[in-house]
Amino acid sequence: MELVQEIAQAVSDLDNEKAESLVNDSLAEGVDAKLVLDGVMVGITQVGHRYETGEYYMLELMQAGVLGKKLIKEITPHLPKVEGVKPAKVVIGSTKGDNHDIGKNLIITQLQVSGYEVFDLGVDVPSITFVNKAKELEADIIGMSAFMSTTMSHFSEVINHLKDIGVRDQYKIIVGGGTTDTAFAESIGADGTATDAVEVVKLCHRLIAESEAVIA
Amino acid sequence: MIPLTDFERRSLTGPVMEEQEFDMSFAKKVREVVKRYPIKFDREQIIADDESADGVFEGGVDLLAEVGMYNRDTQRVIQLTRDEVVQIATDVWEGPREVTFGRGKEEVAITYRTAEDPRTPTIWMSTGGIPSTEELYIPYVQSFLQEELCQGTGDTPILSVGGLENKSETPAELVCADTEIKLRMEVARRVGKPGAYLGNSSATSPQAVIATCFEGGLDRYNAMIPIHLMPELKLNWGRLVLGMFLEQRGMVPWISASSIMGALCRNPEETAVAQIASLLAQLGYGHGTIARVAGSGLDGVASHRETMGICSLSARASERHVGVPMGAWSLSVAGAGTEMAFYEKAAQTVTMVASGATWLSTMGCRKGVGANLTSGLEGRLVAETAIAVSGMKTAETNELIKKIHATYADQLGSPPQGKTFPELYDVKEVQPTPEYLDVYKRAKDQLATLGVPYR
Repeated sequence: MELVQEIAQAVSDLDNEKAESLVNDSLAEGVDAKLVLDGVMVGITQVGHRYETGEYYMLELMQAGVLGKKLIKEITPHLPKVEGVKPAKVVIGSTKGDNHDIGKNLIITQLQVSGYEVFDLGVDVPSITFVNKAKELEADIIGMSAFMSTTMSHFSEVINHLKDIGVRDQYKIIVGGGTTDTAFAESIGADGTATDAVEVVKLCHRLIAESEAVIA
Repeated sequence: MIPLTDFERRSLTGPVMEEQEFDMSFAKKVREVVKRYPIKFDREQIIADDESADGVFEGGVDLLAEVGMYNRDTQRVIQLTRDEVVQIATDVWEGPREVTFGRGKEEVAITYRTAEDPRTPTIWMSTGGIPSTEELYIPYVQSFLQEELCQGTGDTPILSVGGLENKSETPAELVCADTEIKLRMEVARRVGKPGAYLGNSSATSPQAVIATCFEGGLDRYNAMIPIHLMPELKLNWGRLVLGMFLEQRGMVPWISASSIMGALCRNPEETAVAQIASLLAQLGYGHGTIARVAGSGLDGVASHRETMGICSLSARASERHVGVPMGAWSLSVAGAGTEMAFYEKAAQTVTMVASGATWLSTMGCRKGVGANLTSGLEGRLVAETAIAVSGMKTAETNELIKKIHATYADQLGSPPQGKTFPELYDVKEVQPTPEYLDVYKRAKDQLATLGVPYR
């Protein structure tokens, strides 16, 4: 447990050198990779808490994301293969005509540090790209962001397309952006919206709990 | 002046960088440059002092020179030297510092102001991007433009036309934009202000924006066209295409510096520095003659002390070192029809008038979420407040802002939702209901009691 705490602390403090050294040394010494992974995940969770309390900002979330990804890549080959477990995947982007991405990027970082596999489609994303990418990547959640009334209109286009090809139920759809609220999300048949990145993660946890996917 | 085509060249030759790497370099650098200068946001003194304003300007110059801008379409950084950035500000400072809009009796010269300037800012009243439904569009816009103190209106998107949903990058975008312009022109005629400034349409794709600019549509006298950077310091070819189009047609670019606190910027100081970097970048490629600052946090609240402080810091930095006629908005968290919405707008108005704002555009209520959520009566109070406090001394202004802020501060977390335009106005006569007028009068009386010297 001491090792878990030590790795967690290094990750939480964004001490890259120490975190990498602890992980690599532990793996080389034959320590159970699951324990090492636990340390990394606890650390990443702590980063999330430090963001929630205002100690950390988006930069720290991004740094934790980069660090976490690197460490998990090191640990993964040492983990036993688990059959039938599918990590939760989120396909996310800003809709066609919308170039705003601060909120979206914040959500991506929060989701990544919370264990989701996130595919960022970027900004100004055609509606059909959300559909095609979700199908291609077998996503669990489609996230759409729009800041303006004229770009929010694309949300329903994606939802309607998924309905028309008979796969709407295969995805959870979340929408957000400056001018989106719960009433609007419900009115277009989305599965949810949230007011900030932390709430989005909670929303995704809830939606994923309703499906068979798991968070890494 | 750096030609816009040079921004194209630099977009193709600058360092290649992943977007996240650019974001991280921005976030690290803004923290670093803020420490170089004595910049201080003081919750008790919302109007920025000279030393902080000077620091914000220098920090903004450093930030832009050391980080550059990011072109998403080429994934390259557009780099500028510090001398080039300083020259951008110098070019504006040595320029006319004035821009004229409107025709005939509606012609208005928007001239650079300073803090404590006794001249009143130009007042445009509009929803500022808060949409309207088709059946209410004319009375909604009329409620603003008919106001005696209203010198122009602005963008009010229409949600649909004839059942065709307003959607970017589709033919409907152009149909709706065209309809908005025609209806606003009709309203301008109805209220006897046919030459008034009308503002841009809801079109956002370059092709639709360009299609709305023609003789008889949007032109040099009735509109500014947005070319602004996305936060933080990002653009694409579309922005540069529009910038070139406006330059070739002699139209005025709408430059809006709208950095966000709580994401890559942590606090008012960093956000204000980012605003100035953004302002200078846009003036650099857009060669504009007018601009706006719009501070906001991730929570979308524009009326708390921190966001007002951001706007004051950046407006005062611009006032002292750039000289571009600077505008501002007033966006409430509370819904229209509530006293709180009036107080929030008054606090923002007092802040910006005292920070050198040259033009004010009234904006929506309830954070702009939803349709038909604001009205001309809020614009009336903004205008009256702006007139009342123009020329007020900074020390007096700071006290006034604190008093107004205190009237609503504890409600920011759970603001009253208010009512919609058709609940607040007789839409046939386009007049506020007696009940809404009572709310307005109570708010104005309270503001007068707090120290707004209404004339």
